[in-house]
Amino acid sequence: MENKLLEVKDLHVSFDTYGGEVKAVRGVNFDLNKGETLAIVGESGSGKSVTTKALMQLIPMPPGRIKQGEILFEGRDLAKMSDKQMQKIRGKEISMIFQDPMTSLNPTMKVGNQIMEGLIKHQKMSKPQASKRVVELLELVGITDAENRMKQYPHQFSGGMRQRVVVAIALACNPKLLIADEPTTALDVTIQAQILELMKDIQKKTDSATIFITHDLGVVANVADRVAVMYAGKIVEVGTVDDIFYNPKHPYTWGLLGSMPSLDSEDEELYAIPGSPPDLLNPPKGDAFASRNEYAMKIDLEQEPPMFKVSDTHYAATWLLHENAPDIDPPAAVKKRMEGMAKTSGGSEGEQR
Amino acid sequence: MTRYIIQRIIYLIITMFLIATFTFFLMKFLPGTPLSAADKLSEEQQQVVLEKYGLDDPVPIQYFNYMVNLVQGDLGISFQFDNREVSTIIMERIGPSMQLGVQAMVIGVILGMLLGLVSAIYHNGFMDYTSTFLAVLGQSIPSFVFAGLLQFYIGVKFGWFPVALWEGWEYTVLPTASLAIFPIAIAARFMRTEMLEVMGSDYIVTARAKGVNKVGVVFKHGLRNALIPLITVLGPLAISLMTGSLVIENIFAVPGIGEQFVKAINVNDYPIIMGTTLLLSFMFIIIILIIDLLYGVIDPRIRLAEGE
Amino acid sequence: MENHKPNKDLFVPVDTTDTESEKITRPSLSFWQDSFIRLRKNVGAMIGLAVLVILTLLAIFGPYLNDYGVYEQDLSRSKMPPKVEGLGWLGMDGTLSDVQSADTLEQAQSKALMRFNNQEDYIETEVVNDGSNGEQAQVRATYDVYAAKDIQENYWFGTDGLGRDQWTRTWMGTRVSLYIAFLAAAIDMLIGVAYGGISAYYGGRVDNVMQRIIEILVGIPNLVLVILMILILEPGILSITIALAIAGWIAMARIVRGQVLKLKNQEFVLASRTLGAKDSRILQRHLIPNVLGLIIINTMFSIPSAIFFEAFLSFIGLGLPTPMASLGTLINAGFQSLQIYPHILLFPAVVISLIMIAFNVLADGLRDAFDPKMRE
Repeated sequence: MENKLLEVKDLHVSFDTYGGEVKAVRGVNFDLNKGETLAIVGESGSGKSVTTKALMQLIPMPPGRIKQGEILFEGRDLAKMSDKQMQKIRGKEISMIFQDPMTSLNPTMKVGNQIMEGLIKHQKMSKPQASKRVVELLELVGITDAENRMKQYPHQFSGGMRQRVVVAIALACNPKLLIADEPTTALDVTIQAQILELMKDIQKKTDSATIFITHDLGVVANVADRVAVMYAGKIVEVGTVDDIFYNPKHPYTWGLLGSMPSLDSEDEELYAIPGSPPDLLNPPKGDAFASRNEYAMKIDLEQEPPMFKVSDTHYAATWLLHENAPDIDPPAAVKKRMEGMAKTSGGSEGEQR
Repeated sequence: MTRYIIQRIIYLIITMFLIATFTFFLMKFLPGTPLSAADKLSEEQQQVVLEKYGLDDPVPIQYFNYMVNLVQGDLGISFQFDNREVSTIIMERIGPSMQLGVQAMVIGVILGMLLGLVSAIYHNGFMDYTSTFLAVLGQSIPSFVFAGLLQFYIGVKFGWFPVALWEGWEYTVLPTASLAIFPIAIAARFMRTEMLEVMGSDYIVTARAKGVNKVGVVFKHGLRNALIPLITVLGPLAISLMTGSLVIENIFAVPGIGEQFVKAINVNDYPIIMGTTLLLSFMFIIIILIIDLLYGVIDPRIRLAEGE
Repeated sequence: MENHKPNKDLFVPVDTTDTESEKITRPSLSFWQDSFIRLRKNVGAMIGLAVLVILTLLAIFGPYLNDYGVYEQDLSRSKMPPKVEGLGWLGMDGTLSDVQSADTLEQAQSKALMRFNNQEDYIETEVVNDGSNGEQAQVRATYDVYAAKDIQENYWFGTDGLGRDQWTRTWMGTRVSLYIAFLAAAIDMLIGVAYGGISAYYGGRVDNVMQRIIEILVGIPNLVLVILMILILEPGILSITIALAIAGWIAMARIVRGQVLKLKNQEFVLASRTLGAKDSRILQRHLIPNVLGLIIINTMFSIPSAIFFEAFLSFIGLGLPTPMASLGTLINAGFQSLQIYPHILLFPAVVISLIMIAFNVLADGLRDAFDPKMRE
């Protein structure tokens, strides 16, 4: 327990729109140890980005607000902090890498200055000191000719290079927690791999904890220690990478795994989850996933499932785990895929093709 | 960049040449001569006058002389003021016009920017609604109506500032205010839109995630990016000020180019009309050029794209 | 965690295939329906529209609501103040008043009476400040012009310097402004859209030539072009029309060209072309609907500037010749006696301001309604 860096308890985030209150995050619980990498996966709109933006109070307020819950970062509750207090934490103790490197850098500011900003603010460095550190950082993220590059503007960098700059900005003050919000989604596949390698590399060197948001399970297998699966504003299954890939319990996780193509599956069809996520303006009664779940039971339509314990590290919120529920095996396609996964990934330190 | 500037200057010269030619021939076919007001003159006297101004030469020769003189900065001789060169008259009168224009532009853009900034920061708040409402009024109500209001209330009723004429800085207050209202409104609306858009962009979130405080986010990251597009409205604003000065100078009896121009129209003083038209066109084109270049200097994206 | 003891019967599978996960919860609206609904919700735009409707009705019927003609002069009735029965509290009671000050009360009194030609029978005086506190004495004189001149009928907006009825002339002037509004819109729609559309759609050499022409026209300031045109054609409604026709469409042509060029290469147009759609179908189904919103918005924004331009030209004496009425000429005339008879300026100034505000607010509303970025 000493090792805990972050503890999120019953977090609710809502957006007040003209149509009413959109409950984007509806009671999320998770924790994170020092140096650990947690991946949060889920469809678009499942609330993964909102959850992490709420950690740093970066959701636009209004219309957004943290309705209830605690975000304990080294024992301090971030949810109750003022903007002034948060400014001291953002960039220094928690920092963030964003999805689209094309838009997340200020187009009218030199790259070096953008990296320096945090250093000067949080570490009270003088300008020459800061620029020395910028050169180090740029070299760390693999940008050559750093002395000259830092004097250039973002539009003179390619997409992958810009994302390296974004990583450098995030790393500038040696944060204890790094949040990466789909850092590779907007990049070419080859560049994706480079950035992932870079992040893994840096994590080894800096030993900061990471929350990795993605919808790409391939990425998850590659970088994460633990995985949380989010659906409709809730975490529906959480466990180690092995738990999730080899022993998934929630039908939604089955769906996610089943819809992931793999190289050795020439003849089989992908398993697609039918339908689309629920409208969070009026979340359905019972299990939000019930209407898309082919194993749904009556109770799913009436009562929300609690988190059932599968093992010490593995929990899932589905009534299928209840003692009264019928024994149901994952669909054959998914099962086969799970086996395939075991062969190709060979554990959490799998090779990235 | 240099190649671009040279290209733009060549375009400028061509346009000016076309405008000068166009103006000249239009004036040749205008109804009424400067002599139509003076029908007391005998045929002989009229002939003398025509000869004096070269108006009896064949048109191509007149055109050639006109162009040669133009290049030397000689805009001809006014019909209404005997023996006075148009260029001298314009030079005498350009001071007040420039002063009014520059004052109105500077005050208008700065006030408008602040108003728009406040609007954007307090988005959807009371301040936002108030300043948006004021901006719609300022954009809609014609400057000569404002001039009337100011003249009647501030000038006549309260007597705070002189109603008309041009004898010191206090005389510039009402005409400047009348002219500045439109730029204030336009700059405020533009600034508000740009600022809201910029503040919603990803790099603002990046800056906030770095722990930059509110003031830093607004001024260091937001303002500069919102200001760049503001440069694009400066051109149209400058032109609207040139237009507006024609009426405002008349209303407040300011001895500027605009007042002279309107007078000249009423008495068919061709050389002055032509001279002023050319000057206005020239200023118009120069302003557009300067703003294009300025945009390139300020926006690093364009600066480099042009350089390569 | 295991404190739930739900009923065992609930653990039976249910068929979820017919549930409503795929139901679209919001009604589907076409672009135009959605835009229209959003426009209707915009209070400002609706007020603007209402003001325009009222002003248009007044411009059509206003001049016939009393018996005075537009050009009917009567110098004995010049500069009458406005008088409307029942609107006396608004200052429209047919009287003129003025405060005069002097060193003594008597002097002020006589100055006040002199101000209105000593027609003592029709002047009421009122002491504002009797001068006993060391300041100047002030006397307000209120002169009942209608009684003095023995005029029975009322001039609702008063009369101008030549005794012409301001009510009739203001609404005649409004007609000119509305005609200009209509004209500007028509020019934008016909010339601007056609020019821009053709230039972009055919591209290549056609586009090249057409764009060079525009570049030259753009270099000449509108004001200068219009003034020159009017100088050759002599001031009048026809010359303003022609001047606007020459200069008014350029901005629209550029906008339409830009938009069509952008759309032409977008995936949905390419897709349609791949499916074998003919030019006419692409034009009708894809290009026009997507440009139309933009065209409407820009037309709405060019209307107020055209109205301003006409008023401006009339104001500096290049618009409608006397004795015709335009809001610009009326305002110009008002300036000549602003200090003593502000009402002559007031009514046309209010009307043109209302027209301009209404068009601008309506244009803003349309832009918000049509802007896809604003859609939820």
